Amino acid sequence: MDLRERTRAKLPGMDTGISLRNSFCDICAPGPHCGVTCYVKDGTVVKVEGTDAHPANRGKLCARGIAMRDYIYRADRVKTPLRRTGPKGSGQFEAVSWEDALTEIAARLNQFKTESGASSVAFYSGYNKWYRPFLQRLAYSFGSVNYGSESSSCFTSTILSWKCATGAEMVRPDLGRAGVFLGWCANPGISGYLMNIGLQKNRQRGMKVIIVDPRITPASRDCDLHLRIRPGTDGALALCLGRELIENGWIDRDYIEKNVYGFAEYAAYVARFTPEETAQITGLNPADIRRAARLIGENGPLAINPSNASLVHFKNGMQNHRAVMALCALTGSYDRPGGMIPAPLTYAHSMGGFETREPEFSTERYPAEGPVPVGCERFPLWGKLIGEMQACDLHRAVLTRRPYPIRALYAHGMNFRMFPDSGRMAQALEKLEFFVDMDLFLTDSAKYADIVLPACSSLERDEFKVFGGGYAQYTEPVIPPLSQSRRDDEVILELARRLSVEDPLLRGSRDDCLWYMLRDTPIDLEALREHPEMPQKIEGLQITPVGRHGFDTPTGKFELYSTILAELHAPGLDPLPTYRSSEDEADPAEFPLILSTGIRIPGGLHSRLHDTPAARSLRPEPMADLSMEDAEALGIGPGDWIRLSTARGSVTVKANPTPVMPAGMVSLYHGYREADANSLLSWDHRDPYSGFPGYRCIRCRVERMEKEAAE
Amino acid sequence: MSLVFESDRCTGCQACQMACLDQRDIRPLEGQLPLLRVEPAEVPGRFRAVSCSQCGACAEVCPTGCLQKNGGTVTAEESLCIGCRACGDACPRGVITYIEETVQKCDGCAGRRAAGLLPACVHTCPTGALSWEE
Ligand code: SF4
Ligand code: SF4
Ligand code: SF4
Repeated sequence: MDLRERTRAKLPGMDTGISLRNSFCDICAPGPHCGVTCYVKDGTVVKVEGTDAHPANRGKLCARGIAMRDYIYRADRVKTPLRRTGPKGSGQFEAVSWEDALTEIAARLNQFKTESGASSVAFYSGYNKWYRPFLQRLAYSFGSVNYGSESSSCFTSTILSWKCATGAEMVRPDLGRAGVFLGWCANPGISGYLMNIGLQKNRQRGMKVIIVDPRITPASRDCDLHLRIRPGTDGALALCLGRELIENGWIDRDYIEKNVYGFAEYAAYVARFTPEETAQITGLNPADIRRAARLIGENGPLAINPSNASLVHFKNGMQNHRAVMALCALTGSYDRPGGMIPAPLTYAHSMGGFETREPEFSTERYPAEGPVPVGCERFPLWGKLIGEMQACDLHRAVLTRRPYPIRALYAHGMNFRMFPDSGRMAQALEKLEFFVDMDLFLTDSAKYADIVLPACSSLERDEFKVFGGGYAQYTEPVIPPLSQSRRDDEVILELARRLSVEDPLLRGSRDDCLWYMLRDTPIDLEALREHPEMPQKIEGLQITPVGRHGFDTPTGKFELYSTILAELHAPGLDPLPTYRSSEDEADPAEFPLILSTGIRIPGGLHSRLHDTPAARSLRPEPMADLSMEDAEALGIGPGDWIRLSTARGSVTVKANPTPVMPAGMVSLYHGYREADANSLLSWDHRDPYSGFPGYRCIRCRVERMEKEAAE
Repeated sequence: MSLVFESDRCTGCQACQMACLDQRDIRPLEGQLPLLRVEPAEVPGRFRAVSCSQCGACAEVCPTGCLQKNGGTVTAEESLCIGCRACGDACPRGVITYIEETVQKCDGCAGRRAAGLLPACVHTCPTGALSWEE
């Protein structure tokens, strides 16, 4: 092959000038982060692919990861620190030096601290997790109790559920040995594709699969039973399955006697959820519900999809999740091979299979004096078990000065469109006296900031990272940081120095902090740095064997009746995993359909890929998916403009009638500037246990629009 | 020789489509067409991949010999392309596009295969739904 052809094929070599350098993709959540091999020519990435030998992904990547090149070279990357010169939100800025930006930030934050107390400054992390231990410690060392994150609307609700039940933080399904997999809201081909590979493999060995999903998906087409449930009624189905397991004797009595607290109360409560009653609530067929119970009863051990977002984005989400996971207690599938295995969050929301002192590092400087963090009074279970700011309540503190005023916000990756009634959060950003936002892109939220700081991507930084199965890696940058962008953690540490916080560790180096967090593990950072290209298997880790995790609850058992909830005596919070409707109050006659926002699309990851051209090309326009039946009844064809309205607001989008949607349900992906799903959601449509917004069950109406009216 | 697609295994993740865009520097939002696209099939929850079958219809109409049947694949000698777009009109699958008035079509990532690598789309497919048949 001649050089021209080799160059055209992007083959690595001395002649083509292309070299291969490894890092990982951090576009999605840290659980599945995949190893990425970058083809680099003259300091520019010209192609990415999955790293063949990487223990997590073995050469594979999803569409989002392959869009990484387009993502890092987006036209709206922030190039230098910026100071706002025009009105908030206008996007008018002047370039300033890092020196000037950091000096100003430190002076202003210390001024608020002197005038109104450190807790008048809130610290916030958006979707990225990798620098969070540093940011949280900075908030506390500064003296503010108000550290919070995007995890106020994602994932943490499942931590609440498990903490009430067993005291564990995170619990994973042991697919490799499961007898039956309950794929509640599981469509792993589109979200978390690595699980899909496991699912396929284990189905071949005979594992039974039940999929609970209102839509038809590739997962639901390849399963033993598909339950097309009405959105938000998951808890009722789970309680009914519990009842059927008990009625038919498909429960592990020994396990329950030894390890379960509140079985009698639970059994008495679920008795009312007969298959016939439950069919009325869930829209399912009683015979199918009985079949599901039999599949579970006769094919243990039971593993369940962890469902960190989809199951808990409902008004009754945390309770529904508890009701689903209660099936592990009944069948004795908790902390048992083939069941649900407790898995600690090792470092920065990644699971490596072992523990570090990261929680201690993040929280040990929590201020001895100070008010209750924002949102913790309003959401007492969150307050008791999480204790961070519940950021979904941040806009209220800013706009109404209740429970006390928040004057300034120091954020990495703020996105107001994440919040329900997103316009309110935008108003709050406008009202703040001082707002700093560090981001890769000049987002619509960053445009409200007084100072914007340019962040670099995972390909432009070195970073310590753990992977499942006891692996750790210390990467090297694949390319230098673009323009003047910097690492988030570097900026946090620099700010700690300039704020003069009384915390010698945080004013030291990143590696000082890492050594501190890793001091009980055999991990040697220097040794890792010698192999930046690949995660290294760590020998000699202490890993709790399956079956030995125990129960870190007040009763020392799996609590079906939560003594933590009982002792809170909080109005409206029940100790049993009770079922309540997740619908809002809107009139069903006026708003006959159910809108579910956030169902994953292949080229989307919240809003971060909407302005990434390659990813956006997979679905160039915001579209609402609706059933063929509803489309026909409303006279709507493919590509027609429709108005989608809720009691809160309306958006205009194109229609995508599809046979995969059930009648009565509409789906709209979130985060679009021109059709913001969260502008349709009232700020108080939320789960009282977790504070999570009810993103996935909102009463709505759809009308066909004439093209002219729409444009 | 061509891509082989097994609908039963495909999850519609479109990783293959994205890998092809990345390999070939194709920018659909600027009017270029993907050389491989994954679309919903008639059966709900199933997908089909539309890609080059190496049928040769494009080569037949090419006035300059830029497109040639070469072994089992149709390859483009880009320096001969005059940008007449006759091939794009002839392609029954709509998987030919143009970058700067020069034809782009699937050659099964011939350069990668010659170097012992898999085509970009096949390499990334997480389910094994795509393969390359010699
Ligand atoms: S590009 Fe189109 S016309 Fe040419 S070989 Fe492929 S399918 Fe046939
Ligand atoms: S073989 Fe190469 S050019 Fe052809 S569709 Fe796959 S990635 Fe695209
Ligand atoms: S990468 Fe594989 S599974 Fe994904 S859409 Fe392409 S063929 Fe289907």
